[in-house]
Amino acid sequence: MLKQETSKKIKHIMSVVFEISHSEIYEYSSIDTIQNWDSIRQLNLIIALEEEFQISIPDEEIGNMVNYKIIYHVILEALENKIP
Amino acid sequence: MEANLAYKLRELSYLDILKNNTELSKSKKERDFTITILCNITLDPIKEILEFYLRSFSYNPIIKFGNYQNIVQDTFNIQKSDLVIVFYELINISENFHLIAELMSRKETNQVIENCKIDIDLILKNLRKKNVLINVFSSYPFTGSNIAIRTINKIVTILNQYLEQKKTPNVQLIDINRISNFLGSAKTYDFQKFKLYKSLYSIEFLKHYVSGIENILLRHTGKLKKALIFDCDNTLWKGVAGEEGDNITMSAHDAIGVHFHLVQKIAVSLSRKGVLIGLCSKNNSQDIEHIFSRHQDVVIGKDEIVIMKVNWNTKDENLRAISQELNIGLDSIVFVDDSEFEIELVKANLPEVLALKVPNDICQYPAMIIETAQRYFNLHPNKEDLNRTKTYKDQATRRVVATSFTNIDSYLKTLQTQLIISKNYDLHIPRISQLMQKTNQFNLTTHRYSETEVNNLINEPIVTILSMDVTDCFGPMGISGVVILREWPLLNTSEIDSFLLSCRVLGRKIEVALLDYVIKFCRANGYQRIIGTYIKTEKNGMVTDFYDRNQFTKLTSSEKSTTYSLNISSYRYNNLNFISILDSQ
Repeated sequence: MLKQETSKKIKHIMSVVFEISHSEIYEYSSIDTIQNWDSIRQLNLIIALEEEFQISIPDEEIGNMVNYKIIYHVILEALENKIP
Repeated sequence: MEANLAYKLRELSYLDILKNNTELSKSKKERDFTITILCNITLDPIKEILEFYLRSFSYNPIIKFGNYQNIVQDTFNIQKSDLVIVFYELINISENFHLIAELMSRKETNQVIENCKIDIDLILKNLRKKNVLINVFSSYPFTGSNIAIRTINKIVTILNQYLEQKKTPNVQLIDINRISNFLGSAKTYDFQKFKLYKSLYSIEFLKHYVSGIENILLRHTGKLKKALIFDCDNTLWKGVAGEEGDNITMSAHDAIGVHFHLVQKIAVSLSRKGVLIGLCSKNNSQDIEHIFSRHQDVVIGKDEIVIMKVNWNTKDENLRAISQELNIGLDSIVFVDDSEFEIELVKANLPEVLALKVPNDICQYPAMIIETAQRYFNLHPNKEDLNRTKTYKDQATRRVVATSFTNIDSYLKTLQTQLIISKNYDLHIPRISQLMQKTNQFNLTTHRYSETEVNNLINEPIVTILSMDVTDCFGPMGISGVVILREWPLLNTSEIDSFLLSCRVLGRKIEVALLDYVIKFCRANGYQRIIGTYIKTEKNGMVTDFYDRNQFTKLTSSEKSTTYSLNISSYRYNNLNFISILDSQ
């Protein structure tokens, strides 16, 4: 999957989970800038990301996923490690 | 598409559910439905799924969670809920219990069992007035494929027996093992999320769980379906009536025909359980009549078919007509057809109808119908429900009779309608509450009293609940009207708290006769004045001017409700000569 598509897809998922529009999500959107981002939605986000990309996000990364940029890198890495 | 979207719940991704839930939450729903979930694990994702599901049936969901790990404590102080769901998970009764369970001594094991039993007793005792779902205990999350007898199996077996033995009628046990069996452990549990968040179940499981309790949710919300309508060709039999003549197959001894035979058999047994069976097909009606009266293999008899729309009109027109003639909502109809085109047409034009296509793999057809029946129909009907099929059929006959009269009153006379009124009759409570929950159209205040509330009202000395049985020349129609009166002795006034009639008895001036009766009753009790209120809902437009038409005068009026008053001594009785009224003894 192209990096651009991945980025678009992540933004789409985040926009659904946090109920905001795509345009409101930029590189440093985080728990601090997105009002709806609470612990329950964090769980919803992880579930949706794993389901949509068909990946499993490692334990140690889950706690770090607090802004868009980190999420993007974690997903890219998980996609690379995915057994084809 | 909402009904059809909910049908596909298990196939939707979690993201789709989130998206649709947000979308549905934008439109205001008419009624609240409150579910309290008591659990000792994290279950937050089920909230979105339940919300989505209830919203797709036009309910406004309120999903509350008890405090984490506080199941028993929470039962002492539970808020108003339509349904309480208990997830008591052995895996989390203590830290790492799933790892240490097998290492416990016999004494420790017995101690765990005793502690759980105490919890069960308290849960059942404290929730005895609620509608409760309790999941059975399961040994599935305890890993390992060793088949030796394990401590955990012993605990699970004993506790499940205990639950079964102690449960009260308000409790329904949910066998979650059926879902785990179907999905397999790996897809049922998410141990990573359990480790991180104590969230044990996968989304896959939770989607299956919500569709598994669908019938219970629909029962409590009064949204169970009522009618199963079939297309004919390639839906009730293989082949096309009229074209291939005798090539039509529905024989139990034919490899393909047997599936249609089974579907017909299922339809017959559903009809016996009160489900209304009907036809909606594009054929010449003689061809279809011919099959039902002559074909040797046909299983569905004319007795089972409540309504037949066999003509060349479009299916959505016909389904709309069926809904009107049977006096049921479009959202009470399930429609089955083999044509993709017809199914899509119905989905597009009548989104409330659940439209199902005959599967391409015909072997799956009977199973699909059985599954649909289990999810959407009332398979444990009471006597009233069973009478309904007969009533609807009688109604069709009544309508035929009606066309041969020009004056409505002279037609009504031939019906020999009789009303039997009971006062504060406690055996009627379940039916009274059922009517209060379900009646939308002829309902002046739409108060939705539960059984417990009706029971409390009946015991109040200043309240009188009248329940009305209706009979006519075609047979009994059951309890189909309720009036609740509240007295204000100091004001010499009686107030009509509720006044409602079931759809099945409308159009025969019963409401006028019943109002006469109510007024006579209040007068006999020494009251001078009656107060009544009309509370507007989306569906009760037909009674907007009920009080205006019946000699009441307006007192106060707002956008949502109007209050009326009537001076009893000036009331002119209608004394309809075609309806007789009896007091039940």
